[in-house]
Amino acid sequence: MNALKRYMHAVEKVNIFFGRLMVFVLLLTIFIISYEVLMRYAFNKPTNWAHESMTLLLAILYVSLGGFCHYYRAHVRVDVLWSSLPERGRAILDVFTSVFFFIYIAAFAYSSWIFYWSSQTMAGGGVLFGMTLPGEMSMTDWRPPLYCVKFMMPLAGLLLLLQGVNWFIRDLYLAVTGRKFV
Amino acid sequence: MSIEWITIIMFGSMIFLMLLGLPVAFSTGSVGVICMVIFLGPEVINLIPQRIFGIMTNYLLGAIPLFIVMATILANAGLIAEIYEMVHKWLAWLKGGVATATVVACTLLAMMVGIVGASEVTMGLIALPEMLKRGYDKHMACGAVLAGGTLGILIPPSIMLIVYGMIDNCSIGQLYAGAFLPGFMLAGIYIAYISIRCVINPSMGPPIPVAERPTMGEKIRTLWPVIPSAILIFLVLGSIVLGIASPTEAAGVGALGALIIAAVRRTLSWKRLLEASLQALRTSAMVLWIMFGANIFVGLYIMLGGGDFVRDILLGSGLGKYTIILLMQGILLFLGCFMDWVGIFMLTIPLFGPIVRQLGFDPIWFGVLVAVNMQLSFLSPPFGYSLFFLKGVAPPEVSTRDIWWGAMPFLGLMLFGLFLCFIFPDIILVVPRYFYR
Repeated sequence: MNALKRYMHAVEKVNIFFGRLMVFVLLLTIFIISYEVLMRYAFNKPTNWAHESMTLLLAILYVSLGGFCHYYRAHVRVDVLWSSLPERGRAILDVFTSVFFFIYIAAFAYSSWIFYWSSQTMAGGGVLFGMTLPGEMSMTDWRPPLYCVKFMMPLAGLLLLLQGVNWFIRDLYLAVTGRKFV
Repeated sequence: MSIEWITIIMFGSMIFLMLLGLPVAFSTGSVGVICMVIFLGPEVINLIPQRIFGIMTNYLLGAIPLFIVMATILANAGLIAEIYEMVHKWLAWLKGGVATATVVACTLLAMMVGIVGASEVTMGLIALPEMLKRGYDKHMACGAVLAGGTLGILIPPSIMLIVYGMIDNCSIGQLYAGAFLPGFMLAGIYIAYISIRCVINPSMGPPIPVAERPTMGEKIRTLWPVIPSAILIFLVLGSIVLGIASPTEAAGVGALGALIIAAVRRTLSWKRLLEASLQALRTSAMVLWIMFGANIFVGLYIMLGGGDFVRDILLGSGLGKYTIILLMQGILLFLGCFMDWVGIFMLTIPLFGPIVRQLGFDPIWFGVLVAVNMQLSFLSPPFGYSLFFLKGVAPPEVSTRDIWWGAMPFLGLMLFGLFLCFIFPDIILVVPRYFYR
């Protein structure tokens, strides 16, 4: 039981870590976009990387926060029946509906992995220290690698899935015993 | 299988899962995935990441976290409280003055924040206890905070209109221009209602006793701290409506401006900034994950012929074109009782948008009309965000029943406002016409 608890806390710590990390990403995007606006309107020297880097950073931000959001159970519900139930009743319903959650997120994680892998193995023509690297590059002038961003999708799916397993264990414990699992 | 059955199965199972309490983001996504496998075969799930990647990397949606973080920074830095203080000092001599001041402050705040939570929570913490202390009618006090705070998502900069513009492919600048007047009109209707009731029955909202009224000097002093935020917001909104900067750029600069204002006034510690950012991240992630799930669902439904099916039903019904719009508004109102606006938009606008264009209506008009309609969804029980926000911060003597009863008359006023926008499209269209001709 203690090992299980330690594992669950570890999963939650990772999700919280991603939440904190994304605070810096968000602040970074604020500065990037402001820098671009300043350069364009004040100095008439638009950059070729600001808009795209902001978009890709925010893409990473949205997708990787799925698990963080689920840790707080902040994904919004339709509170018609669910919220009027006692805690144990909610836990029973959550155990049942989590089956569908697992189907969706497993399909998401699996298909994103394929999506990422085909991007990673594509001949993109990226060059590092004179060596040609595999991996899809963006078609724009700036040519950032896209596979890094796509890699976040299966990773985020995994994090969300693990967080879902955590809640499943807690709900199952509450549903069966009527007591809270720390 | 015929499209009728597909419709019943898909929407039926989605609603069933939602009622059982599975979050909207996952009910839509899981029904989408399962139906995809059943109707089209297992290989098709490989389309999912492509769709989600498309949403993730949508340039316009970048404005969502940026506007939200701007609002949470301003709220955490105490600026929202200051604006209430200012309006309160200026208006409190009126009959029902504190309630009126609440609505006016909320309207001003709505021009800084694009969401409901930030101003609703602050008003619930400051304005509501003050109204109760001064003997205001409990229901009216709750209603003023609820209805006023909800304006945040209608009056630009509004997250809702960005999502609408992205789904329906129309100009966000024009939607913003169109939403100002309906927003101010709703605020005017609320103020008129509050004043009329307080004139008829002064005990519902007594004015502040003469001895407590602020002097002119005090009034003027409350103006200074508000000026930097007013300039900031003028720049942000002006640049969007005039088409100088994209909403995303304006939101980014607005967030930086909020950071600078908060830093200069030394009201933002690192801890508060972290708090504000995490709050913004939770909300943005929640919105985006609903968009992911609902996009899978509605994408599949349209792929299976659902778009044509809905169009044929509505256009082939022999109803007049205004009746069809009314019917759509009715559907949205009904959905608003149960779902949040992101889910409703993602599920209905891809189906309704093309029909509205085909009927020859201005998509800007319809978009703002839908946004006004969604005001009701925040207040309509059983599922209304504003009701929960206020319940979370209201003093203990205010019960959930009080909040629900307080919302009722304002729901009626919102419906009246929606009706006016429907009858007189110029309320929405006059400003965009002026700027975009």
